[in-house]
Amino acid sequence: MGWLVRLLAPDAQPGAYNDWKLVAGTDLASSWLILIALGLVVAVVLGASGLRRLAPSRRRSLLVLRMLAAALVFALVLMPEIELRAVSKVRSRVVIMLDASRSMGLATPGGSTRAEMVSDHTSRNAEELSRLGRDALLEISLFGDRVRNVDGVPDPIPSEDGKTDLAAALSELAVQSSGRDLGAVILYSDGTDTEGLSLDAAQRLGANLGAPVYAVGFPSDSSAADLAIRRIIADEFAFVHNSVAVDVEIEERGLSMSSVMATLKRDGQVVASKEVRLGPDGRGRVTFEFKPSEIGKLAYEISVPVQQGEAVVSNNSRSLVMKVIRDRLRVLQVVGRPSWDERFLRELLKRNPNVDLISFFILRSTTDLQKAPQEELALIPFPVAELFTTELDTFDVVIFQNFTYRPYNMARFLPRIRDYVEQGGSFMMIGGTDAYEDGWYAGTPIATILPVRLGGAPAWDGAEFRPRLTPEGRRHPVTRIGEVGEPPDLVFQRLPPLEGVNPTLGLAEGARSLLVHPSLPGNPPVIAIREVGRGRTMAITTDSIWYWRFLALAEEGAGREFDRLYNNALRWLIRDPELARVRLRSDRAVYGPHDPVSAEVRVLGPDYDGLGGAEVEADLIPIGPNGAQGRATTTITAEDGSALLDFGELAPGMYLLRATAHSGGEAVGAAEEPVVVEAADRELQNPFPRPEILEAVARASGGRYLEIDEGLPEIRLKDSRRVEIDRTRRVPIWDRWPFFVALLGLVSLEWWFRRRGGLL
Amino acid sequence: MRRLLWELMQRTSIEASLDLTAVRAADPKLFRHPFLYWAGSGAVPDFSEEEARRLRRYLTFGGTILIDSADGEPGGAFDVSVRRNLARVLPREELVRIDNEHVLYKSFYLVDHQGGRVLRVPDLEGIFLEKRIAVIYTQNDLGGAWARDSFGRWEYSIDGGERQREMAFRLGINVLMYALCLDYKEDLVHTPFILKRRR
Repeated sequence: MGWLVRLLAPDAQPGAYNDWKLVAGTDLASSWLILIALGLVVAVVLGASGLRRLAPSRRRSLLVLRMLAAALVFALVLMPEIELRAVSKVRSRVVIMLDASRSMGLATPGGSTRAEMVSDHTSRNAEELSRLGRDALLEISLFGDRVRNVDGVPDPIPSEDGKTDLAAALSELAVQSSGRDLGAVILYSDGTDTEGLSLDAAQRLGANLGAPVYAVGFPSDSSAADLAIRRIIADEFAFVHNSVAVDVEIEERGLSMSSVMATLKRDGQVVASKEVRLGPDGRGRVTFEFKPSEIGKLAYEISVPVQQGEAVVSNNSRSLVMKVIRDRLRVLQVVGRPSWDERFLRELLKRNPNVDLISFFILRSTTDLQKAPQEELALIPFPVAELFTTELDTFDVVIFQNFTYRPYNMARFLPRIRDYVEQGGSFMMIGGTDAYEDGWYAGTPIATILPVRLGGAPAWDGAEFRPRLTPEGRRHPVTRIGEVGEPPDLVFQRLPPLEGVNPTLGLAEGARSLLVHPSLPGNPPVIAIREVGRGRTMAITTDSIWYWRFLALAEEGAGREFDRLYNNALRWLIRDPELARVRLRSDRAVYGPHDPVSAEVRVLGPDYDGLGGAEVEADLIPIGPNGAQGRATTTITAEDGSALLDFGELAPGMYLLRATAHSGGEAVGAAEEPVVVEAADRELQNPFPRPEILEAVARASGGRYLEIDEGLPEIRLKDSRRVEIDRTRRVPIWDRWPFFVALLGLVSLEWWFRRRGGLL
Repeated sequence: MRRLLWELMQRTSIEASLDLTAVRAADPKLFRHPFLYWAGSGAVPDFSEEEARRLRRYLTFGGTILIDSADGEPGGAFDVSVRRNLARVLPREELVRIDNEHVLYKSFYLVDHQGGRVLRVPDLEGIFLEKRIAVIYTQNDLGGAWARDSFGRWEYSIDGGERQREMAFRLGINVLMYALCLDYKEDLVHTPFILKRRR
């Protein structure tokens, strides 16, 4: 380098420049340069075209000379210069990252908080940090919810952030380069990452950082005594009536426990309790297996008892919300005797791929003659006990079709069917000469759940009639069985009349009638529905609905009304969310203790388009003994039928969010959704230090992990690749005599070759 | 047929009307009766276009026909007429043998023999629409085996004796039960019982 400076800038002081660069000094625009380059190319090509009759070796020599001359001319046009530079390396930066999350405020066995111990560590190592400050630019950042730079180590170090996101904090270092390379990171943290950072991910994080990390953490046994539900592992979705597993990880420190009872609850009711064995490391795992009995979003709470002297009690329980869906609709069809009504319903249900149909038909009664030995009959016993005890809860819908319980010693099982409905099951009774009053149901538990009243009603009336829609039936999804846009009343006028009805004493309390008999006294219901507890029931008081499937074909109909009626009925009975006109969606299922709770409600019109201007009343109702006070709000839906429900911050607990919508003074519907507000924020749910995470990051980065009571080692900085230019000096090289001599020499040599070749 | 219905009510839980109704194929009342019994002997006239269309619709959407030849003569005039007419009603389908393992043979009785006034064909034939048998055809004169006169005596003697007559009733009851319950006896819950009894 010295000889170059002496050659080009003899007046410069020795050592004034330590770097150089070749640059172009021309001011010509690039378009001009392109034109000149093209002209030179043309000159070379023209020169080559006159060389055909020469020997190949001579032709090549002339061509090379012409090309070299052209290149030299182009170099002269560029006016090359040497830029002499005086450069120096940029100091890299060292970032001291201080964990400002809430877990750093927890006490250590010595009494000081983790944040105080960090503060003490930085004081004790002030000399090493000061030395670092001379070699590198020191930056100090707090991280937790977000990363923010501070001028010095705060006193005290805050511990207020609600989460610890190590990956985000370290990734942000690469972005905030401030024009300097990252030389090293000194990371103070307890490693309680709340974003699920795994050991593998921690290693990748360290390896990709590009600078050594010196992580200062806390030993795993440095936590105050605590018992916590560390983690819940469960699928977001489950199938109703199918076994689902929820894995729970429990951890204790400082309590010397060998086992603990874990309890799974729903709506304050215990679903299961299990003893969890805790290993020498204080950790244990338990799996709860259970079968959800209803669909929808279900909130569960898992808890362990609070122990004396625990540092954090709010992490002894955690919640999860599971969306329970059905795989196939399980329908039990019990038929008193084969009939056309039964046959067409069975055919419909069997055809539906979403229905798992279990049928039981009474093919022979006790009074029928048996003209063949039992082994020549294909009959099986009616498994009453099995169906209505162990299996009952596995069905979504139970249908009694023209069926009387009396001959089958079934009276003892009727209360179970009532309970099944009250707990969320669905029940439909279809008429006939063995149903309702004629089936001896008056005064039984079944009568208490039916939508119609029994007890002295007239017997089966076999006359033909054309049923009439009620105002409720005109709007209800069950009886919307016509073609698109067809007025509901017209549908029932064009369908074949029905034949035979079970007269009843009218509607039961809370029931609604959709279709009625037009002429019998009191217009008894033909189709009626009712909500019973958490379940639903439906009454169809005729056995001739099949006319709408088959007799309708005589008038060139397609029989679709029969299919639609029963499909709608099943969907209504199982509370198919697609049939609901009020739909709720909270922005998340489980909230932290300070998160504002909000949800979106959508109200749909009878045509299932958004219904604007609907009044929505929303209630948050506490569930179970730990529930706090409820809240209520009202709102009006926008043009698209949606509205936002905002409840702000809520006290920890489980809530049922219920929205009820009205439009034009009439009820549209209601929807419910569980909302859980956890007592412990994520920082305190699992407050135990995780040195292994910090160690993984440090090792993979080429740095080191040390515990809080160790002194800082010598921090090895990564070499900085960045330089800064202090001064420059440009020296032209194109206007010197060697350039022109070379050009002249090349032209002369070409002339000489051409002359010898007889070209001149 | 009336005698079969009487036996049906005696032996099973099914309720039936003993008032038989005769309907023409083009009559809209056809669709009040999802089960038809068509018995005869000798040649029968061809269905009109409208009758064939109506019957096609009837069978396609769930109706069932039991056809019973009293000729006792496979390939006889009635047999020829029936096959020609069925080809017009369901031109894309054909009569096939109904397998002995079909649910029709276990819809109420476990039937492993044919019944009828005569035993001219060893199996029932049928036309399947999707998986359902819409047309069931016998040439063993089931109706002849069922028939009693007004004094309650059997109208026809049976070549194979009273067991064959009983099998005719059982087959008739199974056909009616099949029309009403379809493949109910193929539901999984029945399988172990039926297998045990068939051993």
